Amino acid sequence: MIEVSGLTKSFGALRVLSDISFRVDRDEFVTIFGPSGCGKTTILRILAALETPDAGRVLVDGVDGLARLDDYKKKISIVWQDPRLLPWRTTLGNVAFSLEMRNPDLPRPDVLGRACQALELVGLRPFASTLPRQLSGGMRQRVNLARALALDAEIMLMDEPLASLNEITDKRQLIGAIASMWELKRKTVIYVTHSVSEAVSLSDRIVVFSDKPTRILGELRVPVARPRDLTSKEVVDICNQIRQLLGGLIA
Amino acid sequence: MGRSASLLACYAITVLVWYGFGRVMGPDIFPDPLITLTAVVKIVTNPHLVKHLGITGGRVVLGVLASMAGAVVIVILARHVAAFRVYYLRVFYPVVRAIPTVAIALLAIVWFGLGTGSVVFVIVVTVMPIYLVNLWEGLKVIDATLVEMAAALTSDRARIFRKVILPMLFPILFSSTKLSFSVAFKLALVGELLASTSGMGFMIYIAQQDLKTDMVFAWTFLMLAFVVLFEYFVFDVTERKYLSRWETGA
Repeated sequence: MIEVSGLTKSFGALRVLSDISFRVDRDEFVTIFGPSGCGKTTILRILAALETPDAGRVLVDGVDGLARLDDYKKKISIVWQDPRLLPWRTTLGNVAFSLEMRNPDLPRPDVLGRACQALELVGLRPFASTLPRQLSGGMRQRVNLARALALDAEIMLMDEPLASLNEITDKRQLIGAIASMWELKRKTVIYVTHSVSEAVSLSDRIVVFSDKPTRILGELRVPVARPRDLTSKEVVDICNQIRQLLGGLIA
Repeated sequence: MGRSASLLACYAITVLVWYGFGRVMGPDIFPDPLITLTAVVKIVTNPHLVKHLGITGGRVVLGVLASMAGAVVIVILARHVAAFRVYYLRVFYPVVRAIPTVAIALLAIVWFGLGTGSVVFVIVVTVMPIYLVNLWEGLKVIDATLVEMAAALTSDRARIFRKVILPMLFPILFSSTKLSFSVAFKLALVGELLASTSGMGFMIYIAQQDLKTDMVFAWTFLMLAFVVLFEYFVFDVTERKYLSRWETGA
């Protein structure tokens, strides 16, 4: 269980986060939702230990993660907004990279085996020896997802992984890959987005943030079985509730 | 006319012009291609002479590798240690870049005596600025998002350097090495001429002292052949086989 309490962060004179607190249960898929620029990514970067908060704590199973960084980092995997693939490595090499970095003592056959499994999960096993520049944008993002999956970490942080995709089919494929990954692996996922459809397609619970000064406007449960029909009455009702909470800040 | 035919024609014209000069100026001043070829055969069939090719080649490779390693360490230190950065930018780099090669060679004799140490020193001091300037600029444009991605996976900075930063610098190191190699060969000859009793530079010096112009031409021809073959079989092959991987396709 992750418990975020009193998170505060400023960049110079600009206060981005002010006393943010929320919790995420084990194996829960929680979306941090809010308008562009509201500080969602800053929260995720703090959770990923890439930024230090001015105040506040991140407790994982009661232990202050940011105070015990090495142990904490091992519990986390990240799916980045842009794929961040190493151009000189193949698809398989990029997925194996995460394991090589985190577990340098893992035997090579195990590294490759786990990387292959992760590629299988995102449907890219036939592209194992392809270089990133030869893949489409959607495929690169699935490699990004596979790289995080290969780590088999307890917590997955996803920073708007669909934001860099233009094609609707790429977006649908990636949403499908994330949903089936979660069904299979049941990881604790914290997903950041400003898209209502992504939030309701994937989440168990949505935490809605306001624009700056950032505060939590409310939390919504999505008690609908996956895969979700975005035109169903239940889902449309949740979408409307999100829009009401934001009061016209998003379309 | 095809590309290989044009190339062949260019070589043929060069050899003909060379032959013409040789006939006009005489073998003692400008040996023609046949006389030079005879001298080349004399060198490559004599193990005592062939060893000098290996000695110079070894010094060049050693000098280039030492320059690269030294430059990597110095640039990384300059990037991360503020006090050293000031020293590097204000003192080290301008001085190293400006020292004349002949002065370095003469000082090398004083410090290291005649031999490999002096020749390698001359190469290192003269070639290192090529690496320094390229690495310094290269580090400014490396993809910080990839370094951050790696930093989220491990806190081991040495591993991040080995697996992410160094491979990112590979194209820069490769182009610097390509440029350094031919420069280093020329420097090795100067270094051997002044500060060594072995190697191709020393053999050219001996040939010139004995008024054997054909041998001076033959050693020079062999040096050119060495550089061209290295360029083709090492650099071009590496470039075709591996370097295309670094293209992002963006």
